[in-house]
Amino acid sequence: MRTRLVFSLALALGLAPRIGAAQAVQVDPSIPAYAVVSGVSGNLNSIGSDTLNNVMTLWAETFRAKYPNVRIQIEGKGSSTAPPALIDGTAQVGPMSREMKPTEIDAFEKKFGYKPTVYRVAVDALAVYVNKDNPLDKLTLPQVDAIFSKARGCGAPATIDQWSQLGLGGMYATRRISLYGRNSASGTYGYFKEHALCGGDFRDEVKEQPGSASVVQGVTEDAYGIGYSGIGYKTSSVKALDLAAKDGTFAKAEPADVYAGKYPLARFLMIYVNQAPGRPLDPLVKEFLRMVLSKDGQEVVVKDGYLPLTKAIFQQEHDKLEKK
Amino acid sequence: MSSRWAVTSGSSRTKVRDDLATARRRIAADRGASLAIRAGGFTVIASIAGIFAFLVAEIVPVLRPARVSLARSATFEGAPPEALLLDEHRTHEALLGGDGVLRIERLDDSTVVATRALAAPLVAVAADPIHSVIGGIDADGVLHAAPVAFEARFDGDRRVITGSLGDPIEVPLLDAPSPVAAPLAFRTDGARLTAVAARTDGSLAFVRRSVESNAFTGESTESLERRVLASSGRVTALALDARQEQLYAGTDDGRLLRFDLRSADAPPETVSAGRSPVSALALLIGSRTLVVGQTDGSLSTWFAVPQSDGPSRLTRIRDFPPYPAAIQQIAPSQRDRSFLAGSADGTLGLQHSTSGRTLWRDTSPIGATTALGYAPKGDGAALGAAGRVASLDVRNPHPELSLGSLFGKVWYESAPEPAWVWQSSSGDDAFEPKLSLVPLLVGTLKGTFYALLLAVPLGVLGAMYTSQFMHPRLQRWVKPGVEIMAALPSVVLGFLAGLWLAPRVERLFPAFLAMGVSVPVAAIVGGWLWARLPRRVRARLPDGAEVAWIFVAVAGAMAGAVALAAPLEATLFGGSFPEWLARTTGLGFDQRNAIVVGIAMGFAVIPILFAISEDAFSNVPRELAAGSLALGANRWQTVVRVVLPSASPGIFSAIMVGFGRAVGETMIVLMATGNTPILDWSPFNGFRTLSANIAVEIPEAPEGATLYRTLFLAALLLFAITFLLNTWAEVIRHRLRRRYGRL
Repeated sequence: MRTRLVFSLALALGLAPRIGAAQAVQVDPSIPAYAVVSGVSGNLNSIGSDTLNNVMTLWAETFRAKYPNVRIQIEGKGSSTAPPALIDGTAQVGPMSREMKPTEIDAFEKKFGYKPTVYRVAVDALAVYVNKDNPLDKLTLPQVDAIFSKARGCGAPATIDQWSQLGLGGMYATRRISLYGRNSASGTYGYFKEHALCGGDFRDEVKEQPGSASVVQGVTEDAYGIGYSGIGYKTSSVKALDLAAKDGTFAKAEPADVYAGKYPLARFLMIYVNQAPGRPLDPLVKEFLRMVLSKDGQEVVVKDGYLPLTKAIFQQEHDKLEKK
Repeated sequence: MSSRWAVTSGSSRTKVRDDLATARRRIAADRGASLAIRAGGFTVIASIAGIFAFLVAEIVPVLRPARVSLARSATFEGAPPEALLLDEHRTHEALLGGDGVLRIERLDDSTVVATRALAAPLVAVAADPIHSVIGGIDADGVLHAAPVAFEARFDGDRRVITGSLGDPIEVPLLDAPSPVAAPLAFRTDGARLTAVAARTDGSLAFVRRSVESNAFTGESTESLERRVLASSGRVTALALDARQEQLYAGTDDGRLLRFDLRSADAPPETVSAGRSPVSALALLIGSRTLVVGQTDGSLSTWFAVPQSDGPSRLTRIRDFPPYPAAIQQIAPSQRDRSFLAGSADGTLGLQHSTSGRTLWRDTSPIGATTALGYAPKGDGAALGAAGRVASLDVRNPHPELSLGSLFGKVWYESAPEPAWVWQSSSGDDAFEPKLSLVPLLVGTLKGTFYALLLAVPLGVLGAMYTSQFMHPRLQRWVKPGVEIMAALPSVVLGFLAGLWLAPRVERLFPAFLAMGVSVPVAAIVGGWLWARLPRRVRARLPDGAEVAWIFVAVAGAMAGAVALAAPLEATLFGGSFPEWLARTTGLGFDQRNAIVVGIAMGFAVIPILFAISEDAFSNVPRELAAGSLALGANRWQTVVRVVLPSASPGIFSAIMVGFGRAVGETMIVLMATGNTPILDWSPFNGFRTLSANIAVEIPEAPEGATLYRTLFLAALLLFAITFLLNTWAEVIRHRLRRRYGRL
């Protein structure tokens, strides 16, 4: 909860990016473009978040276009696969859609003697999707909690099993809600559990899909389905619901509401790297991060459907990266 | 031997030499082959033993008990510490006693690196280990606290820790100075501070200070809220949760009070913990489980259990073996649900809440402790006593695993009752890992059952027809055809099942039910019609034409059932099968369910069953069948009464091999079910098997962690099931062979 407050404050602080009339967000023009340097080559392995999978692939393409000698391999099975990979050294870059848990940081520190370094690289609005033909438009977070969890930690009065309990009629009147979610390796799973279910447990009937795209596909195929995934995976056959915090107003999963701090499930997407204190970061990793935290990298974020960093956040991450 | 070489003429000597050479070569080849086969056999046995040994080696660390040992102890000047904070790397301790002087002491050389006099004397002292703040209240009811920061700097490769004290916090708990007493509880996360202390008249003084800062103007507004909470009985222990929303109080008549701080006037929930006064309270990580220690030494855990009628009720969940004296301190871990407890006679113990285990118990190295703290990383503990402090090493890597927690019902937090649940991990450490293998075992058996339900009749009866009734020319096509079915990768089968078959089954389920009736009927009617054809016509048709005819009949029945799906659904099920199902049986219908998996896994298992059964049937000596026919039995009687019993060992073996294959099948289950770890035998919802679970969870299990070892345990379980089952099946097969082989 506190991180949400800090997050929305931070976004509101950082003059939000200009949002054009067509709701297409643009990268802050003061973020500089990437300048190619010489002498960058080698292998870069990325293991981690599925939410960031497409973005990482596009970043990899952009990077390879600038440095043809670099080979990049990307594996996105879920944020929980990033810490073990960074610890074992099988990946230099670990994208995660949630923060590292203290036990994961402990395991990293046990091996290397210092904590991992995190860079925020994009903004995501975690959306709750329903089939595009579903008449439902919006839900409050306690209702989302009552649908997905058994314990109702957010304080809803009763579990919601049927579409009729949400006021739907017609072909939805007698059908149960069919739940789609991510598996436990996913950072999206962890984030949703913490912020939408108020720390409670998912129900056993949530069908655990291996990736964000499968959740969206499940909801596409299943007229009675509901699922959660990053906004970058939205397709035209699903609808992202408007959400409201317990005593807030309904906010859309769109840039305007996210940057205003109104959308309750807005989060940062991060990349973790192994950066020894007092020693410079591996040049390949550093250039990759520089590219990500530049106009080129942030335009890729927009292209994939996520939201770019605000100028203020960008400046903090940039300073962290360039610190000697 | 000499007689054989007796006749030796010229040419016959060459022949003998050639024969000898050939004989030697044959003997050598024979010996070589037998050596190779023996070596191969031993290698197979050695590999299996090696796999078994590796699995066991990965699980053995779970069986080792927790180890707690003294790391170092130091002297301490000042009043006995009543609260302490330990830094992450266990090099420094911050200690505060009744004399009001906060000291940060470095442990390896007992030097005090920072001190601050807060106020003297302090009536009660407390610490907030999560936010690293320590403080106490003075006789006038003012809270004096200070945040303690431990910073790690790197000097080259060496880590240097410095401890420092932050800005002092001073908050009066009461509007006017008035006597307060122990206990004290407070929490602060920087922006919000909540503190509660007992007043001498028996009520509780509560203060909440919230600071909101406006980043543009730099102004900060402070709001202060004070309340007096009425409590029945004298409060002897307090605990505040991490969100600063719930306050737990223990009284001297053994009652527990839970105050919801969000609502100003709501009366507290009161439950009784027995007659003995409550002497210590602590909330475990996640702030849901309350640990209660009493003066008679009893230690128990409580949490709020949701009720179907009304709000949740604080319920006693587990009792731990009692301590010899009153429990004075309880220190929870910040990494898992373990906690330390110390009693008045110096007994220390390490317990784990979820599994209900006492992991270690011994006496404290510095006598009765006045302060107890668990290290932030869960790898140590700090003790404070009069004049001495000590630091302990705690090695407790797998407290959650025990036979009870793996196979028995466990009462997890916020669940209405004990249950078998598998939900292994989440995005933060406050989550309670639920590692029960029972839903996975049931899922494995469920998938296997539905797969064999389809595969055994089709495979065995198909083999019976193919080997006993089918024309040999057609047999030559059918056998390889079925074996090609086996070549289809299970990933492809799973993919097709999940994405192509599942939506169709959901749409056309009544058609499938109709097929169950129409296909056998069509087959029987078709066969009867065929038998009615005049012999002249039948003789002129090519061999094996009856198979084509039956095929057409069955296909027609299936197509007819599919075509009639909509009208059938409308008339029999009132328009929608899932709704009818929910109405009559209360079962839900999931698109990815056990029927779809049964079909797909059955498809994967049928070729094996078919091949082995077909071999078993073919190996029955022809004389048996011939003799039976000669004695006047017809073909059907011969097959069912003579050939089938004879082939039964082979068929049994085929079914067991099919079972083994179905139990270990991973990819089909992974892709065609929702991987929901539910404990349900209904064919209309999904399941999760042991093998799919390992595939899904191993990438996220850090090496050597509890989940990692649990997955290896699951693998060992699968290994054991298949191994024991196959051994038992072999024994039975031998017995059957002995009984029916003499027929």
